[in-house]
Amino acid sequence: MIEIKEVYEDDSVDRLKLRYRPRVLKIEASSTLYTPTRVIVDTEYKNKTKFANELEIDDAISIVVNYFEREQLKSFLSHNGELKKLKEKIDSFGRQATDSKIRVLSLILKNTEGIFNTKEDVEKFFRFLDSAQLNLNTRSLPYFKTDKIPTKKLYEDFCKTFENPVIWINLKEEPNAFKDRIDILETLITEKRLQVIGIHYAKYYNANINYDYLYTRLHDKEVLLLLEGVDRKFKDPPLSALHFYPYLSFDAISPLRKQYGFGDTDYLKSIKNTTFLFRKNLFLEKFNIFSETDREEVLADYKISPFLSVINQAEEMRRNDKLSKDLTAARYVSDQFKAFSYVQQAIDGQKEMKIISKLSKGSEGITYIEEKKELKKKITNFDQEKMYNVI
Amino acid sequence: MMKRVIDMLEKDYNKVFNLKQATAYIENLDANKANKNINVEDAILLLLSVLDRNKQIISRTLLMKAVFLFYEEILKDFGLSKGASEAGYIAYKYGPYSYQVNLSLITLVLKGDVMLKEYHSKQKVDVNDINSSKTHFLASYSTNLNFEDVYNKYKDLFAQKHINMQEFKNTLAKKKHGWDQDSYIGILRYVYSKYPRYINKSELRDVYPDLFYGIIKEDKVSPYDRNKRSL
Repeated sequence: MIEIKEVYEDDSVDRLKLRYRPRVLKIEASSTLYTPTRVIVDTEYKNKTKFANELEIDDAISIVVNYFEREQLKSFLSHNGELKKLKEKIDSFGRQATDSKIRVLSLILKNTEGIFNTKEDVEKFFRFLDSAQLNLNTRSLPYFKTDKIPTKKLYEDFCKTFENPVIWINLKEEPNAFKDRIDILETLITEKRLQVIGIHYAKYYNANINYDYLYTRLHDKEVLLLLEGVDRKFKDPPLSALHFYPYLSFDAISPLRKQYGFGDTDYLKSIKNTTFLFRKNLFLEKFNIFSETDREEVLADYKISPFLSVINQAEEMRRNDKLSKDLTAARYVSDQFKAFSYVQQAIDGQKEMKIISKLSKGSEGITYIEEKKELKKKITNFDQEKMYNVI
Repeated sequence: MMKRVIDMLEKDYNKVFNLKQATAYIENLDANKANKNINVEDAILLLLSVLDRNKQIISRTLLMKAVFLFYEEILKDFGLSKGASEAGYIAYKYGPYSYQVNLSLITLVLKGDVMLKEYHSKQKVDVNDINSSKTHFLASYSTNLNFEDVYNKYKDLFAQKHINMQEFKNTLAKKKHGWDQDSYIGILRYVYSKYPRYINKSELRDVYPDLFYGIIKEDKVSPYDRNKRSL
């Protein structure tokens, strides 16, 4: 049973004229965790297995993301064996996220129009999803539209049937429908029937009405707001976006997991473009932008593993601006180096989240924001910026 | 010729004993027991019970390698063991393997201290061929025992070495958490690159190539990777 308790609301941040106030939740799963927290995505676990390491990723909340195109969804509801594919993917994620306290499925349905034609279709979908999620400790209801069952009844039935329900909503939804949805969810939260809401991310300026409504209605509620699919960084400066969203009231934030990924065949370019999280200013920067000292600082915790030789080789190729003669080896270094960068972002990103969580409880939070100048700028002035589509 | 034989013997970590040597070896093991060194069964239980929230390890390979690393990287560092050879680890088909650990696991399962769930899944290798399928076997090991109960058996030993329980538990929990997240693929990659002497007999030594002394050779890259590259 996941028990969520709001423990603190930081009044001091008003001094910074924040448009939105951050909050801290105390979540009692099998043990206690505090928000805001960074959610670990299934691909980050996969990246961890790609290079030799025994690093520990703090994965209090983890998420497996799956996309269903229209045809896949149709097939899922009408062909034998399609359920097995999804279940195997979730199980494989579960084997690596075995120590994670809250494990969630985010199923993104691309176009559901005309697929759920009867009430039975929806119920069948519920049943299939339940069996696919057997090895998770939550049950997710994806975001989709249907007029065959009223949304209120759908949500109530779902919360009644399953333990630890997670209901997913989409910030891109039309505002009136979104408001109705939030009102229903608010009732369920107040009655303590729903404790986790999954939210598919949309850029702030494209969904400001929904963001605002969500904040107004749910900011002071005992519910875990899980924001899924956030772009890893802003354009300029390259500030880590994941560390900005706690200040918009979200409790758990996961980075975007792309639907399709293609490996870069230009290995030198790939090595040069690999980004790392630089904790000093929360920037996601390319390796070659760092000074020697900064690089040392970023890599300090990772130099003990047998993986060090890959880092050195990548560094050598970057410095000499040319690949090693053996292309297969170059590809190997480039792949491993990239995988390493995602794991570094996850580990160091979570460390920063923990600091934000700890400091948000008191006035020290102000000092933290003062230190991270670009973060402060983004929090205090983001709605005055003219850079539309940036947030 | 003689030199070559000696070299080979030195490189081979599987040792053959005559009766006299074997008796001495067993006596030595008994002496270790008398010194109350942590025995293999308890090492497994400590490992399984250290994370309160989920007392389990999924996959046989992962468990075998995790016990190996527990000996090599934790018990050895804390001065509680001489290393994995104490638990009978030798170089085998999939890297370090111990018959002793396997036997202890069976004993623990029979005693009811460790619960074992086995399952398998079949995957089609070729969609056009109905007979081509690959079966994956998986096992999940879990325990109901508490870490403290197992730890208390060796209270004196830990006190003698000035080891604080919380510090030991935290170190183990942190490492175990990392190993679990690696799954068997990641842990093999780690063990193979850090302990190359245990892979000389491994069937998978070319599947998990890694950088030894900073050099990657074409023949160290897996055939799978090479095929992918040529596509």
